[in-house]
Amino acid sequence: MAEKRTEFESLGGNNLDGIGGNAKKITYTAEDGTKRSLQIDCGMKFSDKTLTGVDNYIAPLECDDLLVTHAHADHIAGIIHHIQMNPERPLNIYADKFTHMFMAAEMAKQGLPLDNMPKFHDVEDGKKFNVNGFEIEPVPVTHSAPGAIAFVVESPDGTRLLDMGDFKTTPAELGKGWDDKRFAEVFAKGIDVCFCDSTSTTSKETTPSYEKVTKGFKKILYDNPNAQMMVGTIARSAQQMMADVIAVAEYAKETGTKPKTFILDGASLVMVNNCLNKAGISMTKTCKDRTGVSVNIIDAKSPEARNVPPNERIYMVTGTQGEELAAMARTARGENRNIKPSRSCPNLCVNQQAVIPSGDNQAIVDEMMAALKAQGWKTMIPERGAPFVEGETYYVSGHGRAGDMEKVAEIAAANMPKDRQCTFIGIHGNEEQTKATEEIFKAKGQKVEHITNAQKVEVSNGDVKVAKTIGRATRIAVIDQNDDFRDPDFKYVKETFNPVAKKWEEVAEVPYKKILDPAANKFKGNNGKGGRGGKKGHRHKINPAVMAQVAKRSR
Amino acid sequence: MALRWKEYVELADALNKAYPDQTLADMEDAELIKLVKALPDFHDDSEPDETTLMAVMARWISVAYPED
Ligand SMILES: [Zn+2]
Repeated sequence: MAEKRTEFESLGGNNLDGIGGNAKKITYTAEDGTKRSLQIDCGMKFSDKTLTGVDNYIAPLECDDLLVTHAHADHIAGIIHHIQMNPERPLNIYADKFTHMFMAAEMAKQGLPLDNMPKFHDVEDGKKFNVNGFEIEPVPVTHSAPGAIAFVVESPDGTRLLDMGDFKTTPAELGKGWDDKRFAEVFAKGIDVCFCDSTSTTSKETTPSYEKVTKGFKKILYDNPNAQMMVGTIARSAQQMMADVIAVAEYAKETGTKPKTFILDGASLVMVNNCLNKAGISMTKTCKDRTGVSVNIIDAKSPEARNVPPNERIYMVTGTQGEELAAMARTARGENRNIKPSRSCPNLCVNQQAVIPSGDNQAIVDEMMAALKAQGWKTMIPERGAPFVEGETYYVSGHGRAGDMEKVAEIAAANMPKDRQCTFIGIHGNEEQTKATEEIFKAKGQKVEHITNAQKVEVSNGDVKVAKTIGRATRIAVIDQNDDFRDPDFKYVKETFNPVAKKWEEVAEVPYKKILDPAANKFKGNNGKGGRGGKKGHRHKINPAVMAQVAKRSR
Repeated sequence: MALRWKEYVELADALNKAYPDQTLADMEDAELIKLVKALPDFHDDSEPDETTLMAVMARWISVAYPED
């Protein structure tokens, strides 16, 4: 008779070389040796192709039952590739309704046949469900993506693990979010191990709330009352957009003016708005309920958009990092048919996302903002790591900092049963970040352990042990051989991490079936007439000659 | 060729051609079903589930906004 035990393994996300590719596996072994498992998340880790020759890396998908914490690429973008590698597998996905809608939309955008779509199961706060013998309790958290969930996973022997997902500890603007009382309840029932998001835990204090974004954005409205605005955002991180909508409503109420209209330009934003409505967390309704003010949110192509006076327009666009085909860069190049600087009022472009320090992002975003300026747009962009200033700051992160972790430690300490102490482990970060998380909990008198990818945590009879030996972590390199997202020709290569040599080693190419409908890409860019290569995430500097021409045309 | 829910890529193309000015950001399922059923080439008696409806909607949005 073997001893029954529950094991947790970070399949990806506890990397030595940076954030991404999050995936976690939980396995229960019964006394007779039979095993059952489930996985949480299956994300992607971005790669600089010019350095690695690889577009991105995806985490393995080792189970047919997958819980998904939220709709960000570092948690979900591996799934569609795994479906291509194994289209017959009966995949069940458990996620919040918005995350479900968003994933289905993304898969459809890429032309995944309906027969190959996973079976989605919508999960809700307070409604426990059973997966493969595990009892699961979804608990809402606040993150930049709406519908973010933490999962309590209880094994048949009563072991309780808590994966916090990506979170911070202030309220959400859209849908349910963090609630101290809810987590007090969760910890009161006993948690053996709690796994915490380490993205921002090397930063002091608490991550500011979305309410602060509303204040900062409102100041922009007061400073630029008559401007046509273009605001750069990340579509699926809609909490921040919701904070902007509330700012517009409050500004209208305070000044007795007509609320400005949000005009969504680009498929991602229109799609996210549609997904939010289907998930029952409409931005217009949330705003009306909260402020009593109706704010219009329409798409840029609708005839209604043309009738909105320029100084009442707030265009929401994607492409905050200068992505070549996104609306912001196309506007900067004078190629966006929907957005032009107005001659009848001032023009203001607010890039509501700091530059992500990677490759030559900074130079690319600088060029884009300079091109917009040359066309007559006044430009604003937050500085990365700039200290928070009440009433000024208009961008906040969705990841908790040291102060958020301290709060979790305090809630846990105040509520956990005396005879069942929780162990805290940092995930979703590199060594420095996960260790920083663990130090915070340790300083608060909590038990901590540390793991890397493929290093198992075992819980048996309430004892928490970390394996001394580290296994070989696995990832799949995704290489688009056409280097063109409109017509990708994927090659998948399995790699494993040698923990002694501390390097990834190639194992084998993974065969796959091309099941994505090629017709799904024929309308992409230039209506399929060819022309410039289409690398969606691709960024390049704007040619100064083009910039000068655009500026001349706009004057 | 008859259009069916299952061939959602073709269905979305047909919708975009038939209703080029349609507002998509807040379209509800009932409205989408009505527009699909009004397409002359649509012949399918099956009931679409919400994942199917989302797939049609998402494809339509990406055809309407081809650049992004
Ligand atoms: Zn994440």
